[in-house]
Amino acid sequence: MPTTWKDFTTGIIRENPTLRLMIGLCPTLAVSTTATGALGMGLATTFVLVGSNLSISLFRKLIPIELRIPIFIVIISTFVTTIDYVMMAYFPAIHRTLGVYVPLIVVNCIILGRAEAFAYHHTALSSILDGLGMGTGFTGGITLLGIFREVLGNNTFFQVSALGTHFQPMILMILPPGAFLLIGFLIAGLNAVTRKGGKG
Amino acid sequence: MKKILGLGLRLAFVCALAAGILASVYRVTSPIIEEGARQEKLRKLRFVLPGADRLEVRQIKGREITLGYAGQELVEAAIEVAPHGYSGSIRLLVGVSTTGRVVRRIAVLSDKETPGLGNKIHDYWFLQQFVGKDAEHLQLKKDAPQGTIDAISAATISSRAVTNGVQQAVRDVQDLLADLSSLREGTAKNRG
Repeated sequence: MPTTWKDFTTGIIRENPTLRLMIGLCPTLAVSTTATGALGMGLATTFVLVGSNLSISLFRKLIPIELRIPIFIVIISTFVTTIDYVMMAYFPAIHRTLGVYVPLIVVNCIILGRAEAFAYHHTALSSILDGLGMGTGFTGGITLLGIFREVLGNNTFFQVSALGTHFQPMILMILPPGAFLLIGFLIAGLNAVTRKGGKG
Repeated sequence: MKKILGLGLRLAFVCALAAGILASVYRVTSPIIEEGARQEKLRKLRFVLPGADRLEVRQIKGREITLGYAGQELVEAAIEVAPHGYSGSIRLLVGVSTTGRVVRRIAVLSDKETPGLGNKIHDYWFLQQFVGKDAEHLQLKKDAPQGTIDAISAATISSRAVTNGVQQAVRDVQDLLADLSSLREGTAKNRG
């Protein structure tokens, strides 16, 4: 059991996709202007990741090695299109905020990366846990960035007024450069917290 | 050769399976999506035409206009305009009172303005300025002496785009309604 538990926790801090492996940065930087949008994007990506990891690990013995990449992409895009339509039907407001970035989950390298590096070689249970862990890590990273950008740049926290009227919002933070600046601070912060003694 | 054929068949099978799944997802969700969009549009129309109890969508000169009736009387009309903002079109739905030729209410349907600057066009205080104004006064204060609209600071282009769009909408409604009444008189004469 400890191995499967580790499959889950790996993605959260130690191999956090956004802040450690630094993959999937395009959606992270693009849709983190509000905390709500970032959380929605994180959850949608997690759903796709768990779904694709599960189906790929279930059928891994049937997927010929020469065909694995096209088959991964077909599986991933099926999940992405499904979540796109489901969000459009049941969460139209979040879907409007995310816009083109929902279909673009297909090309999020976290998903193909986990399919190739993990799900293709592991059991269904491990793959689900890996998907959940990586998804949690991604959701955490993007939501944290979204919270910082929204609070600093718009003085709101999940659309609720945050720091009071004396705080002058820094518009830069919700513009693209703000995303780059803040993610740098987040990466540095995570490194500082997790550094194990001595010179990192 | 045989191997390639085998691989091709397997890929075809996976794709067919995916297509089947997607077809059923589409069948389940598309009615909900359409219904949601219809409801959303109706909600926006009701918002910009608060005085109407019956709505009627008409095509006049190839443009869609929604007429709002209170009882038998035509009191309001709504039209969509899409002025060019700072980065792309700003789609606005403008409700106009047909008696006073003044703005009733406005809804911003979609925009691509800069977050934190141009997208303050959604703010209540900004949109509220347009209510009750006629075409002549629908200009920015800094653009014309008779203007009555305060621009959003650091977002003059977006403010001007919305203001001009609303002014255009009021004029368009006037035009289209003139057409509508001449059409009606025409049919009335024919009947007589």
